[in-house]
Amino acid sequence: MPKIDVHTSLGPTPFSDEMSSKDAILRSMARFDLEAVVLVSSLGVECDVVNGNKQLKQMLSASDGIYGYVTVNADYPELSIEQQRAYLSRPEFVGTVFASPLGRPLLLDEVREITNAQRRYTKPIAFHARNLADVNFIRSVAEAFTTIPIVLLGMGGDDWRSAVEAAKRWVNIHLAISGSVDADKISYAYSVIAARRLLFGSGLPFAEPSIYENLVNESKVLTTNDRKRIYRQNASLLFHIND
Amino acid sequence: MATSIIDINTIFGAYPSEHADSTAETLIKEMSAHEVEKSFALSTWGIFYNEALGNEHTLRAQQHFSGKIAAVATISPHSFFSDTTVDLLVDQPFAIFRFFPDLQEWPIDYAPFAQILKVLGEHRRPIMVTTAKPGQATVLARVAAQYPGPIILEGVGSSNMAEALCVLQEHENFFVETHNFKLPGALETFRNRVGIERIVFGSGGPALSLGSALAYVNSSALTDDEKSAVLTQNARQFLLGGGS
Repeated sequence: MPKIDVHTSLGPTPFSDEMSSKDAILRSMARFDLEAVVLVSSLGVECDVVNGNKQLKQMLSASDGIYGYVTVNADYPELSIEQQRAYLSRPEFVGTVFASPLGRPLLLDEVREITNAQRRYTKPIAFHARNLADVNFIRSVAEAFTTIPIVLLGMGGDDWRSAVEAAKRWVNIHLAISGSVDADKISYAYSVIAARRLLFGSGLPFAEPSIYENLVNESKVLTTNDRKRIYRQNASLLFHIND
Repeated sequence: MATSIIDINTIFGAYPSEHADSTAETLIKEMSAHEVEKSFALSTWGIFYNEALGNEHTLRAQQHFSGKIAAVATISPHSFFSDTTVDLLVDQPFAIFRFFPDLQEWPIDYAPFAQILKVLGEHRRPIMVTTAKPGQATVLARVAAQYPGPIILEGVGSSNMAEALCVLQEHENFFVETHNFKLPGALETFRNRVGIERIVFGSGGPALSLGSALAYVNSSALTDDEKSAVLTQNARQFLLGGGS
């Protein structure tokens, strides 16, 4: 089944270069049956927002199904708002992602100005959700900005149940299923929030998409239509990719 | 790819926090769904509640599901007061001895653990230790430097693969278990650096997805023979003595 992977990164890993050039990305998309990918710039979220976004722009191609998130950094609100202005009017930039500070979650006040600026673009904001602290922070953003769709990349890691609870409370929260591989994760999320706000995401090149494809395929509560939603329809509607 | 899979990392029973249905029956059902021939399993009781009762629970499951489950023992250094604890366990049909420093909150560089290894070392039994955090595999290599049996690093993931590789390169009796591998190319790198025979398949199931752990190995660029080594032959060789 063709898929849109909303959690992929541009950049090498210690073991592979399969997401570090346009050709390599296209090969990976063919290998994993990905109709489209939404890339996070590793350079952008790790240290260099400006060059990360610039480099990412070179890779994006809507006709090839390669889309991206503009990286913003809460420590640089003015610069970040400039980056939003520079890139978010382009169709291949389908959302914004916040760089995460080292060793601690973000705070609502730190992201308020940039998130406010996002309103004019009607595109989602993504956050890396690695644990409960991240989920709690994202919950506060979802509550403060109810009109902006929020995407949790990594679904809260091992604290995915908290991510599901947050999505139950706030309908603007969407969950990318990357992160932990608990056998009951998809079925549980489906039982609480149904399939409409679950997005296929893997973390490629830091994780194999086949791992998460298996989680979706093995969930006994999903219908074929639910799987289609998770694999591509939900992302297509949310990010306006081939919709 | 047709092969009889051996899963060296399964845990059955109740968890203190909410988990997927993880009864021994579920484990057997999952094994059957994924053509897993044998699982090395232990009861959650041994990890979270009481090691003696947990080990008994494990042996009962082994007897009940004869041939499907190989019993795994656990010893908590927190409650290790006498060498006879180990002596009694080695007389029973446990295939591996597992240790859970993170779940039980003890450091690997820990006198009771060192003493357990000393006693267990006389019997050359395979051990498997959770080393999911950076630094743990390094400390284990130091603490277990004289251990004569196979040592399996369990829980190695993206944050400590380089460390695990260094440890395996330095110590021939160390092996790596795969359930926390997610990085594309990692299996191939381990094969190239330390040899395919040092990698053994584990899933963390049934709480973690057995199918996803298998999908990772099957979608790697390993040859069919190499996949078979990881999924079956390596475990068979050093845990089952080459037999079934």
